[in-house]
Amino acid sequence: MQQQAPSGYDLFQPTEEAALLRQTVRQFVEREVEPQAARHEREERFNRELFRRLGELGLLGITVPEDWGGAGMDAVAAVIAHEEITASDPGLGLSYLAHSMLFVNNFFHNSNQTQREKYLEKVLSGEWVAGMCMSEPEGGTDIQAMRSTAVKSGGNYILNGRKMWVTNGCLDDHNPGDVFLVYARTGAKISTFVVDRTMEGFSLGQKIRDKAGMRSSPTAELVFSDCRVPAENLLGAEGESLIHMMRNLELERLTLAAMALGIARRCLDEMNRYAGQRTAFGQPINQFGQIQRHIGESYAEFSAGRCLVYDVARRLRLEQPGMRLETDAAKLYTATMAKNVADRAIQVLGGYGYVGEYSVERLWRAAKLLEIGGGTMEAHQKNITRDLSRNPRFFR
Amino acid sequence: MNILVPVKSVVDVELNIRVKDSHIVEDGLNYILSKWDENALEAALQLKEAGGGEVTAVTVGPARSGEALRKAMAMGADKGIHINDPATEGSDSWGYARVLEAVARKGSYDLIITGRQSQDTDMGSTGAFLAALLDLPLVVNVIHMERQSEAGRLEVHRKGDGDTEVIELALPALITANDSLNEPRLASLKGIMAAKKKPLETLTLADLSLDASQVGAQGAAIEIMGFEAPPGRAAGKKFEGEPEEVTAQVVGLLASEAKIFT
Repeated sequence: MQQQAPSGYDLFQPTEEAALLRQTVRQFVEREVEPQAARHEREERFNRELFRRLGELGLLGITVPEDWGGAGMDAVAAVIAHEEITASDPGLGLSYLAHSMLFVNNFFHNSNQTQREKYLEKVLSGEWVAGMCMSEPEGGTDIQAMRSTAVKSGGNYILNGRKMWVTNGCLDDHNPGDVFLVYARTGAKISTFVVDRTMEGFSLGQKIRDKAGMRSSPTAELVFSDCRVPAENLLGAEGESLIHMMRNLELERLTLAAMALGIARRCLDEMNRYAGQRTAFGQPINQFGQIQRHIGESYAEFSAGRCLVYDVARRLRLEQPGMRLETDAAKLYTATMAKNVADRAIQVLGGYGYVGEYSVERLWRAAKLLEIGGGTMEAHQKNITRDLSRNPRFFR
Repeated sequence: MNILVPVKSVVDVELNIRVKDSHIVEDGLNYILSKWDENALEAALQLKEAGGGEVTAVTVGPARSGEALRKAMAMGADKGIHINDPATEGSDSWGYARVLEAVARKGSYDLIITGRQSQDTDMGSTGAFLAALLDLPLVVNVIHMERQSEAGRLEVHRKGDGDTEVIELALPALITANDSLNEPRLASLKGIMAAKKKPLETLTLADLSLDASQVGAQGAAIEIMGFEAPPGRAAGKKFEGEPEEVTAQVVGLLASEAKIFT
């Protein structure tokens, strides 16, 4: 229930394109995503065909300029797409994010013409499934502890190391994903490489099973064993990874926060509906103060988070970083908000909330990941404190 | 083939519609492209893809109706015509048909496809009125369309009483689309971005040489007296007791109240 602002400005759909995009993604989700979500989660299976549909609709290149075959949309659009998909299938939302944000957006902004011609079409269509390799078995947030190495040898770099928690790292039990941005040490500094499945020495270590949630999104350990990467697949120059990461990190965090919004919105929707239908002691349970507290607080927190995320999105420029503080805050707040809202939804639904058919337990398990993946809560807290200490007059 | 598709922006019935003092409360309403119009548009796009030509979407309504037109163009219509004139407000189906007639006469169309009815008023008469005004052959409630007809002819199937009628039409003609005609495509992201650059013509009644008295509330033969919210669903009945007793009660009520045995 939204009354239009006197100015006519709509924070969540600032343009006609944004409104049409939300309609399109929502229709797509109703028709094609929702019917398969619970099954793929239960079976820990990635829906490759559905992923190709994301490509057909143009969602995989949402932030890539139209000249390069993308949709040429902005950060608000990316937020809308992630919110809508995740409200139904968080696993698909995560795989979408890993592909279109962690790989495509990063790759596009840091690649040269030859590299774009070689890879862009394949990843925008969904023919290839892409991801990004940063964390290792012994280190995640602490980037400086990275052990993977790349040593130049003639026209190649020889890549050695293991990468952990790679979303889209595999397509099934046996096949790795198709193409990845891989961070590795070249001497003291870290460099970025584009590694694809055709390269010798690149293999699937293991599919990571039995995750608490997001089980329709495949996660893997990838192994690089004397992997020969052509020198032309170095992204930018040697030692530039930190720049690549910085450029992309803000959009990554923002879209992760958008996923949290999707989870929270769906949970709120489910608990609101259930509480109006279920009766106890002769009246609908939404007549009880304890239930009203769950619903009231959830709505207020969701609304606060949604305003924060969309406000940051409308100010974020894809080509120019400068919103680290705001994007850290958006993800820090919404991840925990989503987890709490999902938790309350289960509480309101009682026994039904604890079983798969009612969706909220699946969303609850998914929500926890957002406190860990793409920046832990602790990393966001550290970043925010550091940024504020450097700029005590942070408010305008 | 040049095809004209009249589309309508209607209230999204997925959201709660509130009625106050016999009027629909406008605040908080969301407007969408009427669903049968999506079927009409899909049919037009398929014909164009198979045999070339151009698809023009047209709508009559205030500024917000423009969004339905953008959606039609995002789905693939080549251009849009928006009749935005306050004098059209309060039009009945005849009034809308008069405006659409003027639009159709300004262009040159081989086929006009409308939804079988709009999702808000459910009247289902605008298409038929428009065909009458333009003196075009008309087939309503089309469920199937043959794409490989000879030039100047079109074979369509319509749902009749209990069976399917197969009809061959000489073009130009007008058909109205049933929702089983096709599965409307989603607007792709490229389509959404491209829609911004497609030609959108905004016209008033004067541009169509129409007089305000012919359309809108003034020209309407039908006046909507008011709106009422549908009554809430009555609570269900619960039967308790031994199966034999309960069965007898249920059968009795099915006969006396539901009257299913008559």
